[in-house]
Amino acid sequence: MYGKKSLVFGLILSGLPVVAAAEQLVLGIIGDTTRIAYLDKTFLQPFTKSTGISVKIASISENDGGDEVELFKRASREKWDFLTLDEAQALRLCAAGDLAPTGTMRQRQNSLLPEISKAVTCHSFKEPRTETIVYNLNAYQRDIPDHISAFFDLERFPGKRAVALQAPGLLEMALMAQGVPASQVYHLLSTTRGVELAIGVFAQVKSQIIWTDDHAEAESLLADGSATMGLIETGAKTDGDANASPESVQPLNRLGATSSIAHHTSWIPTAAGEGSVTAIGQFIEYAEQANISTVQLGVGIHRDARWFATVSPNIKTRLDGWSATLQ
Amino acid sequence: MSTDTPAVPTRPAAAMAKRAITVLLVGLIIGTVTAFIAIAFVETVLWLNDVLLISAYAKVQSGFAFWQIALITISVPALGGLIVAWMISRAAPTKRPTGPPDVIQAVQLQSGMPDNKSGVVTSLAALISLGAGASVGQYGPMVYIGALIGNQTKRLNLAIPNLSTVSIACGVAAAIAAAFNAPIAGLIFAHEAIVRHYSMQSFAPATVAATSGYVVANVIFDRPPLFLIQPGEILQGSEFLLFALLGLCAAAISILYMRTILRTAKFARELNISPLPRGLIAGVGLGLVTLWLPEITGVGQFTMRFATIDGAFSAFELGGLMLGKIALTAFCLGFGFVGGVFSPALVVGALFGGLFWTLLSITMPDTLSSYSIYVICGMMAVTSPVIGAPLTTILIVFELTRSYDLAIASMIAVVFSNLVTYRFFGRSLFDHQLLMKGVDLSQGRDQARLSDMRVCDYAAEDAPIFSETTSQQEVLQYLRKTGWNEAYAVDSETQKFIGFLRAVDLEAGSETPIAGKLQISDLSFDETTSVRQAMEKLSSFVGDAIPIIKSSDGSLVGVVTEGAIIQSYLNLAADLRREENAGL
Repeated sequence: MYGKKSLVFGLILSGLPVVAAAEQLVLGIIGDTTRIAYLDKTFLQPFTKSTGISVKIASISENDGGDEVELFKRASREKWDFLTLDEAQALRLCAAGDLAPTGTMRQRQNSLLPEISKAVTCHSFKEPRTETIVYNLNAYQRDIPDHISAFFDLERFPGKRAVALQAPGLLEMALMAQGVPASQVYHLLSTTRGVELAIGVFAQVKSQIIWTDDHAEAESLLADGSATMGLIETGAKTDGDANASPESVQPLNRLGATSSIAHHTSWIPTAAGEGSVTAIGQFIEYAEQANISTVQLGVGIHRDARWFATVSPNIKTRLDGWSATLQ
Repeated sequence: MSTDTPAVPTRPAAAMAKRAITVLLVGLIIGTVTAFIAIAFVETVLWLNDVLLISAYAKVQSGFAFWQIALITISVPALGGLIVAWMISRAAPTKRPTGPPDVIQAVQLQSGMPDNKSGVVTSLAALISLGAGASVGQYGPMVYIGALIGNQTKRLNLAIPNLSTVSIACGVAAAIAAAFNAPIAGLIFAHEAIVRHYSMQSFAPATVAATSGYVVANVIFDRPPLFLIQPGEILQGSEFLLFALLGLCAAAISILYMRTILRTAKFARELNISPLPRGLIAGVGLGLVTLWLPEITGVGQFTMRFATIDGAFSAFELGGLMLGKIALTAFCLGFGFVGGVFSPALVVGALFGGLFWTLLSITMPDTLSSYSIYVICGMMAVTSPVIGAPLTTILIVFELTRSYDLAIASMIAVVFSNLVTYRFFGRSLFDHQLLMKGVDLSQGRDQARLSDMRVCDYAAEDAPIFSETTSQQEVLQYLRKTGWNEAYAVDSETQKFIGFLRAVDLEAGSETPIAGKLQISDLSFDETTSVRQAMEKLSSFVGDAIPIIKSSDGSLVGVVTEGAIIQSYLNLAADLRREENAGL
């Protein structure tokens, strides 16, 4: 027969896998290597160090991240605890009833009055992100570009532009380059005329744009001098240092204070993973207090996720058609 | 014998300092309050546009089917038209919307602003009109709100001369500064269009008010400017001829715009439809147009934004939208919606400027400066004659673009536009509306104020007025006692004026009635005769005084002496001089 010690030891051994599983969270994160590395260094490693809960990253490329319904199915299949989605994607899934709502009231930008309706979201927390236009200082030494319109002005500022295909806010950038203030961009984009105008602006410079698969590739083109201007992600760094990448061979500088696109990535609890409720709670609590969610978005345009989530069918068709032509 | 020059009366330094601080504080408070309310006004309009599904953004976000959108697009303006018509016809004591012409009249004639209730009702009616998508302007109501806030200082006992004018100027300056993010333009507009002189007494506090308005709008609320463009340089000097040509053509558009507004209003009045059905017609008409041409409805800020971008509209669209905007604005204002004329004029001007460049570029490709330069020139050249403020529009361009080239190009276009418009229409739509009310400001504020002064207010208190049965002796005694040389006779029963008589014609001690001595007066006034009219008629007059006869029944209201009329003019001239040269 087994002794008392054996019984206790056996119980501990049989319980270990359960404990081990609870102490690891699986995160499905959309992003390139630069983004994953940035998140790991600034957020996930400190989290593990602080709580002892390890994380496993399931990396999803930008191109594979476009279909939120398919992604959510994959999250359930592969037992991810969290899935990152573009805020508009999260709003769409939320509206479709696929996610458990967490109900957050959103304030309208630059408004004295709140929205009349509460936009319900389903995220645990939102991660502010910023993409900004940078240019090669060596390429433009006499005439310094200082406005977003410089990106589209090939005559005055010649050179290749490196832009990731999935970069957010391209249409917004095009209108802002035409002098449309940020607060009016989505009013103009809500008309077919506005969308066509923005697409037309890109059409004028298409010969000089190098479309890349992700921001990391765009950044490398800027770093080696293949492109003189481009849109790169600056992570949660929304102010301060102008130089985008320490590895850059070429000296890069931000185009201007308003040439940034701020947006949010929603961290969605999938309820499909094997992480314990406590571990998930700790993760959310840590994120809510960490720089990853508390950093303030800087100046420039804030991408209106609700517009992208509920844009009219004819405009959505046009946008999808345009995106397809880029690829 | 003393040879000293007479001492100029001076105020103690402490009193002067106290007054200066008080006036500047008034400017600060009025400017800040006006800016907050003006921004709240604009934000509420935007909010209403979203809530009521007027804006394209709200329509896209609503997720409604087309038929639902169509139903809302017609019913919201219809309901808005009804509400506005009810408010103006039932709740406003003036029974008409008040606006910038009332402010100009109040300041120029010192006649006082319309009552507060009418002002508040009009402002709310403008808010609903704009919220429901009417093609009217928001700056006119904002200017009126500023003036209304400034006018409240009349309740204060601050013992400061011209305080009402100064305060109104402060409110108007702050409203324009907040609306355009242009404090210098706000300051100049208040003086160019409203006050029409540049005394230090109003200039200093209005500067404070305009700056407060700018700080609130730009620094606290970060309001977007009217336009954000990178105009570039004027490519060729010869283009200034084109800007002059643009100004001349803009004058025609401006006159068309103003005449259409006036004629549509007249047409609507002549239809003799009661206010509520008229408001309903306005609303339904607006809704139907919105279904077809949403670009020409509302304040037009997004259409104007499109118009500043090359390629957003074709030449055909630019021309069609311009004429459509003129027609719809005239229809909305004429049939009962409430609002200003400034914003639609900006849209019309921007579309015109774009059309002008587009047509020129067909014949002169690659030689023209940028499209946006012509758009801004067109915008200001059409707008400035409407509001009667050329300097203001030039400054708006300069403040918003910081472009010296563009400011000069605008200046050329604005000046040529104003020259033509002044000749064929008048100084502004506001002045024209005042002229239709009988207030003619074209000859200057002194003449306007003389026209507003009634001679009956200067009738002599001790005038020798007797019935025809009075004895000559009694009349003669009174004349000798009071120093008059003439007496005036009325019918003892009807009190009608029947003639005058001279003291030299009367017999001392005679008990004979004066009836036999009466002479017919060559000159007489009535109760409506203005001091200005009286002065024009006085040149050939010889005698003591002129009888003022009531036009309705011929009764004698009183008599006014030549001296009293001249003195009233001299007093007015002194008042104006004091006001225009007043310091703090």
